[in-house]
Amino acid sequence: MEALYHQYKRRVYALVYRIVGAGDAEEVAQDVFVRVFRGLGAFRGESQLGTWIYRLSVNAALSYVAKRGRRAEIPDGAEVLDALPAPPVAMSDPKLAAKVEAAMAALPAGYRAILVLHDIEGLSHEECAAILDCRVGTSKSQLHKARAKMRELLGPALAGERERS
Amino acid sequence: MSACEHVRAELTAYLDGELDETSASSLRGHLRLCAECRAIADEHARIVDVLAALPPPEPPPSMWDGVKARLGAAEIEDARRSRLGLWWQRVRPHLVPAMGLAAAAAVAAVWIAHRRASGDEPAHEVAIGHHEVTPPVPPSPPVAPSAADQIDVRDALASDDDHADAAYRAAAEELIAMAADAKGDWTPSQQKAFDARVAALRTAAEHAASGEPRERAWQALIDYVQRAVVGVRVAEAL
Amino acid sequence: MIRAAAMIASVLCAGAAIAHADPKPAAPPDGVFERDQVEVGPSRKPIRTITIENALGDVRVEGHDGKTVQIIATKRAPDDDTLDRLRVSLVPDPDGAVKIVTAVDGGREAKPVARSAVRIDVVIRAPRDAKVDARVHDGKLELFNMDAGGELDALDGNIAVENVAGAVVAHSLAGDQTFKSVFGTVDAQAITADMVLDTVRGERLIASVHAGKIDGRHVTSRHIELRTTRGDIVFDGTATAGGDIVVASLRGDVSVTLHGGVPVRVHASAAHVTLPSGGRADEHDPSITEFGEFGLQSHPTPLTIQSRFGTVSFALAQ
Repeated sequence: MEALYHQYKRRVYALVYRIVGAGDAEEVAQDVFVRVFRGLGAFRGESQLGTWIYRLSVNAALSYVAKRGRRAEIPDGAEVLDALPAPPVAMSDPKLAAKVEAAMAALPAGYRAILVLHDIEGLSHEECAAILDCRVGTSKSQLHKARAKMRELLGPALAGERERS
Repeated sequence: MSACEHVRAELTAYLDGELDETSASSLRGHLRLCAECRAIADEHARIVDVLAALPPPEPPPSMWDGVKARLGAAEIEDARRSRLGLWWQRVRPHLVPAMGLAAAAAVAAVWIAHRRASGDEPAHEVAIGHHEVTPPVPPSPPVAPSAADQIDVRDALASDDDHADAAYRAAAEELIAMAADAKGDWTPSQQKAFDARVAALRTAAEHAASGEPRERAWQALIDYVQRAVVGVRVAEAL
Repeated sequence: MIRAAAMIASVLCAGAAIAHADPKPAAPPDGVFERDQVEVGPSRKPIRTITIENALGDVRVEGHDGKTVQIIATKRAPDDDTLDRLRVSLVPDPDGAVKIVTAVDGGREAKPVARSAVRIDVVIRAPRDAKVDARVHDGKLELFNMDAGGELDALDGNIAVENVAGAVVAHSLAGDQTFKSVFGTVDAQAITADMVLDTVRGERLIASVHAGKIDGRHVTSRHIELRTTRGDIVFDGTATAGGDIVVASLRGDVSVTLHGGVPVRVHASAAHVTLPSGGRADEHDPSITEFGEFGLQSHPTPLTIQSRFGTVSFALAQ
């Protein structure tokens, strides 16, 4: 059982973290694992185990967000910057990363989910559709809308980037 | 839709490599010529790059302890709940009907959910604590799933209406075909009246809301055609 | 789905009706079960209609002498989490109707669960004069000891009606239908199933089956119409003065036996017809034969028995 936990802990935590935020991520991730272990006995292999665990994670996170209500405020860039682990050397502008994180936090939770699964975790649309229980076409259109919304929220920051480069 | 609007709608697919070569090439051509769209595409690409490069958050080491603690608490709750459930089964016939009926002011529905026990029940539990309690039935080990088992119950229920619709429709079609045979014995005006009525009933069935309304419409059509087919009433004005 | 406010603790069994507790459900070989009970009292108005929709199991409605509605739901599932998702919702209506609906909850996080793994069976004890509208899918649908009839619908589940009065309307796709001791009007239709009628009397009995048998005995309704497309019909009953009887099939064999002395005017047509002796053929229409002495009654009861591709036989019982 512990082996399974270690195998999936990063994926579950990362997913949950990006959707519910740093403060509640640990609690929600623990909740996900409880559901995984209690549900494992009846899991009959209808889908990949990983897909199933991702699905539990996304839905636990989305329910949590829904229950919690809208976030009172969007953390400003500095706050998020402190919470981030040190960025890899390749990242050109940690400030932009912080702004992207802040913008994600301001997105509707559903958009956050597709961005996390597709753009951050790198899953295909087929996998995203299986996890989110929607059609592949829906996954694609959701992604498009999510990125467009990000662009809207980041507008000035991206424009600034453009001018510099 | 203008060319720019079209391009902007395709950007996500383009950046993810999902456009076919012709569309991709034509989109690239547009970007070469259109500064606005190029800027937007750049911004989209940046967003994707940043997202992909975001450092993954590391789960805190204490998380596993938390999982274990929660699992333990859930198991204790299970044990308590099962005992309570079995207790309720035994005790129900003996409880004094003290409460009478629900409040008169409104239709009051009160659930005895023995899982959500009130404060009183632990006392009762003590009183009959000497009853032996059988352990809760453990869930079965997973068995090899049949094809039907692969479908979630909610999907299966949702498709019941479709199956019923198909079955009713098949019976109706069969009867209508049989009527073609029986019609030979009818007068032309009877045939005409029959055809008109069948057409009307069929339209009603096709347009009815799925589920019970559509079933009713099929049932009415089947009833009408069957009567004609067995010769009870031949195309009377109804 | 509207769920009734979940309040707790004491509610009760109204005396003797529940004191002989339901037989414990057969312990499932695996999985868990839960039995919940609720009692609904009438508000300003007596309870006139009970509506129940249960796609997940059986429904049984029994009449009792009280004014309340007792609902006993037995849920079965492979584990507790799934059990938690099985819902029986009560939709109260201040105008004196009680509506019960079952469902499986679950947001997207719920893992798939096979249909065969879950069940909700509902038993309802209701005031006898309440009308019952009930719908099941694969489960059994039973109506006992009720006086105001109702509408019963099943897809593949069987329908059983016993000791019921009033206007009964029943439809099933592939579920067998049985009517025993029914007094009132019966309108029953099944597509691919058999129908059994035993002791039915009242104003009207219309029973039709597309592919299946109809078996009726001790039937005394005034206006009787039994039809099958494919399937035999066996009818044993009593004609009533002023009534009429039609028993017809496309391909099935039709066999009718009448009791009592009511004179009948029989119109029989089929590939092969068997009639008792002693009848008087109608001079204008050779397919019509009259039986019985008319005496004071000038109009014999019309009886139409026909089968396009099958046989017809008619007998008079002494």
